Amino acid sequence: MDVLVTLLRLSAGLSVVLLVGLIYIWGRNYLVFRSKYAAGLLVFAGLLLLQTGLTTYFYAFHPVVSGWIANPELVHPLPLLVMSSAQVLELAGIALVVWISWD
Amino acid sequence: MEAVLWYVFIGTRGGENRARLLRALANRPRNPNQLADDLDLDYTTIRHHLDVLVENDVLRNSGDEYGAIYLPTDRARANWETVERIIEQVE
Repeated sequence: MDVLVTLLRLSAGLSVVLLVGLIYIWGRNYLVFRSKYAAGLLVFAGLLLLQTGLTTYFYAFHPVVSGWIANPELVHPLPLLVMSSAQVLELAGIALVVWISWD
Repeated sequence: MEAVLWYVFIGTRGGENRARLLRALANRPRNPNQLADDLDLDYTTIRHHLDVLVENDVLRNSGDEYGAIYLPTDRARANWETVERIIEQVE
């Protein structure tokens, strides 16, 4: 349980950091190329940043909700497992995009 | 080709320098040393960008063992409208 909550928080937080990096790359390129492709990438990364940022805030920092998610009496282990796994996979996907874009 | 072509310039950190490099080579094929001088970039940076562009079939080298020059591939030429739109944007 504890491990799953930690994984969920860490992978969401790390995703935020990586997305800021992607927005930096794509934002600079948008300023240079003024292309709809660069704008599309920026919007995509911005929406994902909104989602992972809210997840990180509520599950790691929110004074009330962060306590609920860590309380096994309130959260069934199955949805927690699924949510954690999805967040870790999302982090892997974002990391892959960072890897190909950092070149 | 179109997707690779735009991502390698517009999606990546080194895209701007790659566009400058391709524009220089479209005007006149050159070797890495000449490119480093003309674009005022580090030789290893030039090498890296050339390798990426060759890997993605945007550039090819003339095949000479020493001082090989680089030029756009037929594939890049076939998509030249896209290429021009990209390279016109950089300083």
